[in-house]
Order: sequence, then C-alpha cells, then structure tokens
Amino acid sequence: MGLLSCERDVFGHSPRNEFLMARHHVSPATTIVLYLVNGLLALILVSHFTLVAFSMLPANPLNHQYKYQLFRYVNPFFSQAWTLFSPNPINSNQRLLFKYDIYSRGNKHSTPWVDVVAPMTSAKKSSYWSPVQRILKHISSSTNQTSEARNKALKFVAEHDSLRNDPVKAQRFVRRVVESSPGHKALIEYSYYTYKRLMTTAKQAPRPDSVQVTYLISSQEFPRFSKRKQDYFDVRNSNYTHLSSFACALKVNKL
Amino acid sequence: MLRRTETFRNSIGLSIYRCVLAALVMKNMIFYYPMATSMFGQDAIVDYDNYVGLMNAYGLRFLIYPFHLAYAPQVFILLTFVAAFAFFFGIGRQIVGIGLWVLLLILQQRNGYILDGSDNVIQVTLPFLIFTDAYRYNTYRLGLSERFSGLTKLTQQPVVKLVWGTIGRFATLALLIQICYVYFFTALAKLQGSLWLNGTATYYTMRVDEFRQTSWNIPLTQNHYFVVLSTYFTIFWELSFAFLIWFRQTKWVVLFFGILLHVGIWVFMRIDNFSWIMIGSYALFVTDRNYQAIATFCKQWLPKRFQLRPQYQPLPEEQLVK
Repeated sequence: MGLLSCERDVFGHSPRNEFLMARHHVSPATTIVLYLVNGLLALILVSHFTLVAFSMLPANPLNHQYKYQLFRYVNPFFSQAWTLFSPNPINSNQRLLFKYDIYSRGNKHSTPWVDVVAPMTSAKKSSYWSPVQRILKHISSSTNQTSEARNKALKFVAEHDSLRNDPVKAQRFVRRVVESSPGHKALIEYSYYTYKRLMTTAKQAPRPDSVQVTYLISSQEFPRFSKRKQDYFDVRNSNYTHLSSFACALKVNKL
Repeated sequence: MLRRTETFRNSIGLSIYRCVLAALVMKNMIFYYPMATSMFGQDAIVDYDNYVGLMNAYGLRFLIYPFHLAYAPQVFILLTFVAAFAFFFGIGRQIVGIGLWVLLLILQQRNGYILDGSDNVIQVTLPFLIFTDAYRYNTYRLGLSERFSGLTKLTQQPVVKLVWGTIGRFATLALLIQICYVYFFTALAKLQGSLWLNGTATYYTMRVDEFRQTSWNIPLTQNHYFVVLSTYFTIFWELSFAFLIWFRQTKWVVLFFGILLHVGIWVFMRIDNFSWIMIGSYALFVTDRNYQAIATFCKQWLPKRFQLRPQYQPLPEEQLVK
C-alpha cells in the first residue's frame, strides 16, 4: 500500500501532475475550449476506427457500397490487413524454380531448373537473425499473387461462353491477365537477380543475344491431418502440383 | 471529457513500446543495408515503375525518392536508421517521429512484398505513438529548446498543456484500440477458414517448410490433442483479447497467454519481428503503478549490494553529539 501511494516513481522522478494543477486555474472560456477539443477528438477517433473496421470486415453490403471511399481513406496511411494465417493457413510447401534459355551466336543453351527457395529455407533454419526471411516473404507474396491472378482468370474463362468455347482466345486472355499482375512482374524482376548470380558462377559464359525465362511454381501437398502419422519426409506421401509460366523475354541490357 | 485515469498513466509502457518499435526498425535497416540495391534500387526485385505509379496514384508525388540513382537506396536506409536511432532515444520527439513515419511509408511503397505483419503494426501505430506521452523515459535532450524559447513559453501555457494532454490521452486510447483491432480482425478472418474451424490449422502452419523451424514440429503435430487445442486456443485468445484486456482482473491472464503464444510462434516458426512488436505492445497496457509494483517486488529478491541506497542515512546513536 505504501508503494502505491509513493511520491516518486521507480526511476526517482516525481509524478507529473501539471494537468491536474493547471485544471484548478482554468477559466470558463478554457473549459469550453477543452470540451470542444474533447468532442472533436472523440469524433475523429470514432470515425477513424469505424472506417478502418469497415475496410477490414468480411464482405457486407455497406463496405461493398462504399468500397472506393473506404479504399481512399485507408490507403496508404492506415492500410492494414490482419490476415495472419487466415482465413486458411498455407498448407503446402511452395517452391519457385527458374529455367533460362540463352541464345548466343545462333546456339541455344538451356539451364537446368534452379530452385531459389530451398537454399533460403535452409539458411533460415540455421540462423536466428537472418534477412533471408524478408526475401522468402517477397517470393511467397509474389507467387501467391500470381497464382491468385491466374485462378481468377480461369474462373472468368469458365463463366463466359465466348472464352470457354475458344481455347486459343482463352489462353491468350489468361496469359494477358497473369502478365499484367504485379506478382508476375515481381517474379520476372527476381529472375534477373537469379540469372546474374548464376552467370557469376558460370565460367566463360558468352554474352547472350537474347534470354528467355520460364518459372515454375511447385506446390508440395504433404500428408493431410488425417494421415499425420505418415513419414513427412518421404516424397511418395506427398502430392505435387505445378504452375508453369510462358517463356518471357528478358532485357539483355539489364543482364 | 477523457480524464487522466489510471489507463492513461502509462508513460513507462509508452516509452518501452517506443524503444521496441525503434529497435526493430534499426534491426530491419541493418538487414536491408547490404541488399539495398537489390531490394530498392533501379533494378530491384520489384519494378521501380510500380513504385512511381503507386506514389502518383496516392497523390504523394512530392514524396517520390529517387531510388534509381546510384547509392540512393543506401542513403535512404542510413537516413531511416538515424531517424529510428534518434526516436529510440527520444531525440527530436514528435518531429523525428513524423519523419520516421514518412520514411517508412516511402519504403513500404517501394517494396511492399518484403514486408510482414510487424511492418504493418509499426506503420499503423506510429502515427498515434508520436502524440502520446512516450518521451518521459530513455529520452535525451539536445538543448535545442533554449533556441526556440518562444515556442517553449507557448507550450508552458496552462491551456496549451491541457489541450496537448488531451490529444495525448486520445492518441494513447487510439493506440490501445489499434492493438485490439490487430487481434480481433485476425480472429474474425480465421473464423472464415475451414482449417481453423475444424481445429487443424496449427498442424499445417507448423509443418509447412517455411515455418518448420525445429525438429519438434513434426512429433508435436502428430499429437491431435496438441493440434486441436492449440488451434482453438489461438482463436479464442485472439477474439477475447480486445474485450478482456480492459479489465484489471483479466488483463494479466490475457497478457501472460499472449506472451506464451508469441514466444511459441517465435521458437517453433521463427516469425520474429511480429512476435517482438506484439509483445512490446503489451507494455502499453501495463500502467506506471503496475511497473512500480513490479519493480518493488523484484527489488526484494535482489542481493543487498544491488539495491538502491537511501539518500539520507541517520547517524548511529553513539556518534550523535549530545
């Protein structure tokens, strides 16, 4: 009890009571100003958190009606998305692989598939403080965004007869949607980085006339919960799916 | 009127949170520095044009930083580090805080793909933290206030003090609500996921290669009691945080389980920054009076030579001049 009523805090400072002391001498005009300030701040607080809440709530008629206004308010200063392993957590091991077709003096040379995720995952496991997880975050965000864009395009194709009945047109449409997605652009940018790293280790690599890159997003679905006793590390217990990109030309002057 | 109740006497917690936030930003900048060109430069892993497009779309053209120039990313990283360092020591207070917030905002637009939940927490709590009473501890003055004596006089006016105190209390309340929002909305999103609802989400999060950090993850998730109980505990705890944290009777239980959850996430899944920023934010919910009680409790366990000596010690009876 003696502790609770002490005059000084743990660091030896006197508790500040200037607000309380000042309040003893306030004039009626100051009191009105204070009430106005309180009212205004309360209004701002309630409005702010109401708008932020509506921007994050699951789809409902109100946030659908005012989606543009909500987007304009929260972006970029208060944008937040607390989708931490939700609605469903990631439940498969994602890999990103690049393959380069290098054309030089009329010859074509293809590299094997280069896995960019596996070395970083190993590096993350061996170090408590590593910047690698930032790069992994970048790759997983890009691959997820690309897969989402592709799935949306495929859904659109399935829902529209003009595309569904014309495979060539549908393929062109899906390709255009994927290529315009920020995730795909980020993956292509990352492929430049991987290419440069590959070429620094390759001895006497000739200067390319043109380079095309293909990426593969591989998804390993390890045993599901009902089969949790199965050997996790035995690849025969996993299912694999792949999403392969079209060959994309890289800018030679950037290589 | 929002009065200065016990909840708002948390200047120690605010100062702790300020230091945790600044330390994490400094750590991030140390990590980014060697990879500055690859992450933020002209030929970075995210297209430079994307960044320019975003800044234009948000009407922030005046904040476009020329990341495409040689060494510009490194300069930017150093600048952010210095701002975070100053904020850690409370130098420049609100002015440095606003500067740091703007720098982080620019960095976020340049390469949003590398950011995780902790960056989002920093970005949305910093604007409130700046205006709170977070500069009372671990704060160093550079003596600049003497140069701006007019401004100092103005801030000493009772009315200004009262208004500033009111703004600080509202900012503190906003900060506390924002932390509650993090947990409440993530729980709400989880309730829409089938894996969370059927109680198996922990199995997948702990087994996925990116987050399978220890050799214990596989044997632990083979136990269905552990999987189901930990999944439902996460949802219930996150949902209840926003409501139970405001009551003295339940606050400590909520904080204890919160620390347990985040340390568990860090050990088994190595999600570090998010764990530390959230644990750091719990300091906001602990009042100055709580800290005093904790300090007194801890002091009694310290060896005598480490305990603070009283300023005045009475002379022994025999030495007194009669």
